[in-house]
Amino acid sequence: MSDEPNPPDANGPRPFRRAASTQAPEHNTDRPASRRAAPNPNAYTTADPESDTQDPVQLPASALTSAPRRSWVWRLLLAGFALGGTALAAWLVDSAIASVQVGSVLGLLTAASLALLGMALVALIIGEFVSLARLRSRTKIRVLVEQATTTRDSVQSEKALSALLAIHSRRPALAWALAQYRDAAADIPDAADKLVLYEQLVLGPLDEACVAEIRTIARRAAVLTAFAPNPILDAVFVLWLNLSIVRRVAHVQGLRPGAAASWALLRRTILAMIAAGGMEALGDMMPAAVAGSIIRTVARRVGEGAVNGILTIRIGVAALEACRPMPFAAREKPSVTALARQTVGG
Amino acid sequence: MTTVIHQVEDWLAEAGGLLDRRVRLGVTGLSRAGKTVFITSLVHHLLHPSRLKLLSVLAEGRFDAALLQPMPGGSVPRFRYEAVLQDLTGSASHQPRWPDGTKAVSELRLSIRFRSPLAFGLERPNTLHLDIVDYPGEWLLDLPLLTLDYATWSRQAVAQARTGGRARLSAEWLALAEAMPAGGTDEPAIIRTAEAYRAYLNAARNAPERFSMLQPGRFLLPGEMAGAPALTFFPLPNAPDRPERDSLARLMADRFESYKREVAGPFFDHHLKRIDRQVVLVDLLDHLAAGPESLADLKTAIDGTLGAFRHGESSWLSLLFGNRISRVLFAATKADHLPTGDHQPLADLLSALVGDTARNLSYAGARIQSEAIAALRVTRDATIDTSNGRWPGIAGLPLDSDQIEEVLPGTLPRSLDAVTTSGLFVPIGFRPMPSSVRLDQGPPSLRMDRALEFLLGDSLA
Repeated sequence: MSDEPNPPDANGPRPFRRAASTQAPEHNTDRPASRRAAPNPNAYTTADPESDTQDPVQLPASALTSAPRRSWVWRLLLAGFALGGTALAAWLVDSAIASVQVGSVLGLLTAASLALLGMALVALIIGEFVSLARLRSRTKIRVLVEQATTTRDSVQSEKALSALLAIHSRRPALAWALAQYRDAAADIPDAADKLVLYEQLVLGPLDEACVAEIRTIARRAAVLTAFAPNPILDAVFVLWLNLSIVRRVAHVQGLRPGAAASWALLRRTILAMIAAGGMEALGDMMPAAVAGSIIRTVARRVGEGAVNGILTIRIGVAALEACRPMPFAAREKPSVTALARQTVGG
Repeated sequence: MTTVIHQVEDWLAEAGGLLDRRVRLGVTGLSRAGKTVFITSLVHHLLHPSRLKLLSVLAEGRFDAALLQPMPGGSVPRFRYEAVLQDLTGSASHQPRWPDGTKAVSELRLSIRFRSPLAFGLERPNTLHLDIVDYPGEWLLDLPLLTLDYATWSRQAVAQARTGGRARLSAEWLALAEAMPAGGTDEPAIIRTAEAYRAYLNAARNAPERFSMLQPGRFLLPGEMAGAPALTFFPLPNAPDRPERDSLARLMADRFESYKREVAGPFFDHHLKRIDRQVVLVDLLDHLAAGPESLADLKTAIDGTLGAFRHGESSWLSLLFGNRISRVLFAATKADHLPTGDHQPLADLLSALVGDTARNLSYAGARIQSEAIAALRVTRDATIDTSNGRWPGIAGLPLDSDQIEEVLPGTLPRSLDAVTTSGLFVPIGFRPMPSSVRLDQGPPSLRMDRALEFLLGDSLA
């Protein structure tokens, strides 16, 4: 608290007041130009530089999948396929041109269908790339939100908020939730706290919709398993349902994954399940016990149905975590145990 | 028959009431820190909880209602919530204004009905009784006296009076005190000197440095005790540790002891001793503008006051030995007098100011948080063009003006070492605007929800 020889920040604003109605700026030039201390805002933020590097346990599961590496064998194979595809296309075009030159109706039809096919293929590929990019940007947003929540840094939080708004503001179904959020955020001065509100008010309804989907499909999986005529059919059902739960959760979360994005999402979901595995090991004793008691008391098939239902719930919750643009912070992650009890156990 | 059933129901309800939670919230703050407005805002917010967005009990939809209740026991006046609210909202005949300073102790009980979450989405109805005390901030400075004897206090007070900006204010009293004969107990002279001491305290309070460490507190606000012998004493230069019988020092020491025993002690025991949550309100802005001496004095006052409380984790032993304060919120009040970007730096400045004390409290096991709050937000953010550039500022109704003005308070110092009297930072006082507080809605405020979540969040779970 000593008198510093040089003023703290001569670049900063100087005391000033004027009536709100007048627009002419009052000049405050009597102050002698003093030495300019370079403002160093970083020196005063509470943000701990070390807190950017997080506890390895807390790393988002998405980070595990963020840098896919392909070996050279794959690249070679891919190149071979691409070459072959090009050759095939060239041959088709060649023969089509040949048939057009002949001038038959068949030639024209072939050319038209080839053009349509080509356009569809291009659209498909573009779509795949778009949905993959969307998935990737979601991962980036989640990392941004996670950092903003840890540091409570206002600039980062603002960035995270506008990224989230960019995702959700185009969806008419969320207009009401967003209006509620904007209404609530008007009272909140800190962007980091606005993130909390955003999760509660905008992501809350989405979470609930996802949970409803998960419960519907889990119940279907349980029932189908219980009544499936043979084990192979049962396995096919469950596999199909588990694929569809990932797609439906993604759809509710505003992702429309194509084939490649679906595949990436499924991989991510499974990795999220593995990442969560350690934490949930204790919690999983519960569904096992639920299923076990049913096995003993009612019937083996129904017990197997319950087990499959619980598996579906686990995959659904993991998919929700993988698709969500924010980590679960203000809202609790849906508990597999509670969902299992409500859906298949009770 | 039905009356019997009703009677039994009443008994059962009463027995159930024994299981209700109780929290005694100590709103600690020196005079002019904003205790009364904070309490009013808190009560008004909880009665009309539309604006406490970050309070989890509300966000999770577990809040049912809050109700003002008469305080059990009947000796302490009720906190004048309605009157303060009337001051803040204004009426046809008068403009909204800040309430007058608190002159006496008052209490209030707010009962909150909510639901506690149980496992698997089930909930259990629950009740929290929140007891709040309002009192004159001047009296808080009596708490450090409780552990001092007269000689020690005299030495501290005289040494303090001779340093810095206090020296010119205390000259008259010190001259009188030094002229007093050591053996004499001439009552008119004593009264005269005590008056001079009181005048010095008053002058120090209103000095540009805004001194905070002004003891004893009742000298500034005696209430019905004005003129009593227990309030007619003063620190003596060179007070001996063991004063002789019938000496002036002995008389002063006796009166000091009776002040502690009859005034300061009971105030602490009856109103502040049993609190289990504490919010320390600090109006940092004026002190930051007034310079390093003012801040150092403020720090001494806060540290001394907090030393009187017992902080730490409550345990089953608390049942035997009384509560400990488990959470302490340091709140820099009037944050709305600064643009939003300066709020976090303000909270950081407060953290730095109370750093040593906060470390002690943390060590004892209490949870600590610093927050820049405004119990009642009376300004809005505004971007202001000046010859010096475009700056984020505020717009509001200054205390000394009848029209809304745009204001740049200047550059908030970014560390305690950067605090100067250079006039780079000049905060301006604002008053409530008409229609900013409404009777049927929570008041506009800054971070009251964060403050309440920290102080009461676990009690409302």
